[in-house]
Amino acid sequence: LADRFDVALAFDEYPGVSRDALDIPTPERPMRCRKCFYVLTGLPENRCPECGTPFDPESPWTFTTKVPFVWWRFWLPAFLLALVGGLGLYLLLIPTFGFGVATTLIIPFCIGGIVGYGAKTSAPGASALGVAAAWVCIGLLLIGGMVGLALGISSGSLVGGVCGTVLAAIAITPALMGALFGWVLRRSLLRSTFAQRDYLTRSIPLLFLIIPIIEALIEGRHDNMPAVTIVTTCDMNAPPWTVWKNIKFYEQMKTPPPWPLWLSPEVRPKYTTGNSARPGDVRVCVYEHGQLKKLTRTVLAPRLLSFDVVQQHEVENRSIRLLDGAFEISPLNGTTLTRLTLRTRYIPLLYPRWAYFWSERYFVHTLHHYIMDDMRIKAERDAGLAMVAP
Amino acid sequence: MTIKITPQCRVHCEAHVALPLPIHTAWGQLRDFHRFASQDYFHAHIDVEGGIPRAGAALSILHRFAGFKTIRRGRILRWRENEGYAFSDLSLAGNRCGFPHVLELKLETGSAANCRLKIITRGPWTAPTPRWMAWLWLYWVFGHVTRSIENQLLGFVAFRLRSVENQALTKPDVYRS
Repeated sequence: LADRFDVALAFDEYPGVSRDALDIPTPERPMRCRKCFYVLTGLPENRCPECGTPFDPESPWTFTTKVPFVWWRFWLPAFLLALVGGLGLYLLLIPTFGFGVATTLIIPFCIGGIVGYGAKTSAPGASALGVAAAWVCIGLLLIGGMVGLALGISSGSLVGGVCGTVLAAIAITPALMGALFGWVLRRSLLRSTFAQRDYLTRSIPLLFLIIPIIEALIEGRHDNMPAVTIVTTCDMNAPPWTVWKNIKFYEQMKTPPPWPLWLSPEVRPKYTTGNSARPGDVRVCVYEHGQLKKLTRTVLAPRLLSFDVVQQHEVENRSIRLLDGAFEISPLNGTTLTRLTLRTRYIPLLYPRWAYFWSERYFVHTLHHYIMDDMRIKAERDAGLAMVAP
Repeated sequence: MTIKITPQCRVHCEAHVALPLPIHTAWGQLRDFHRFASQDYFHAHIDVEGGIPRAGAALSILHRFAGFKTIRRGRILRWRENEGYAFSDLSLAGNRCGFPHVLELKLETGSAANCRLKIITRGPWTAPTPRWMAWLWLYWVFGHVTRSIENQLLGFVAFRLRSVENQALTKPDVYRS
């Protein structure tokens, strides 16, 4: 029967109809009743014994070769493969290769790809439902991302919130792109005339699982990153000495901090003890959950005050390791305009760097500006008072 | 599911699956011979002589497992409409080696809306293994065959229930009561 249909197609007996559009019966895909899915092969008459619907083996529009549509069989295998395969890949690649492109971009893309490829939108009588099922899968992925976000926030620290948000954002976008890619790939293969396409059907989901491993092998391990220095400058209408006298540490600030600093209890300062007037002085900065010890290294009034962080206890220890910092003051325009430069150096602990660097930069710049704005207001006020006084 | 191996190494495995389907509806699915005969772990492909399954048709069964392939032969021994079928699965090396067996799928009437599928495997155990090992092997393979066949048919039951619900929803209110 299949050969007869192939001959009919070759002679263009069904103009404008491709082989895929026809239900061509094979021993593996026998004719079924379009109404009740009764298997019609080998019947003595051309009428369904179950519902009485007539059929004609010569006319592919009078029967179907598709099995009845069962929605959970339709999307669950692909979803389970994506879930188990994705988790397995994460467990394999994160401890082995760390957070690189493979773990942050390729795995979510491939998980989405499996879901998109597995969502058979051409199932009988299920095109709308198929699309809906595919979107349910994507929705579940989104929920997974959201759970990650919630977990991050519920951990109660800034790094938890940032990690949750970044990981959710990182995973969801490539997962959606992968789902779209998988869906388009399936559609393209269905419509293609590639002779070997039948063999690709099962190997493509496997390929989706192998690609991240290959990419991780090419990419290699992500070991410790070099130290990062973040510098912020601010110009003040005050002489250098006035700026020097108004130098303040973050922990000495009295005004309420901006929201990124307020968000995490680990960076909410309580008070500070000790001083930093001479080299060797130690200042202990106490936060809501932990403390920092800053050892003064250089004091060159009114030009440079630098310190080393000698102890960091529960102050974003999971995201950065603070090394040192400095206040640099340089006159710009005689004695009236001064440039203040704040410098913070740390070793980053969060990967991938391309995803976290922006948030670290934003966070440190916010902290610098918070200090410098307060210093500027006070220095300019003092400078004004000094001018009025004579 | 029962698995019996006699001291003479005769195997008799039997399982019963209750189906909430009329017997003729269940048969409408069960007569997809390729699908149900392929539910065995090892049956990768089945060729039926003449393409259409019927009593007496010779079978060529490609067995595949863990990279190994072998072809076995068989025959459809019984094909009775609305009742069931049985087919043999024999080694090409002879009828006395490679666990020659017969798999039978038989439908039995329950009530008007229910039926029961009996799955039976029979044959002599030819491998020189202890009986307990043969029992474990058969428990694994036959258990899988039974579950797969049951899942296939229950999938159709789920589809049918959904279709019935959809039809009920599309009918006018007067018919709903």
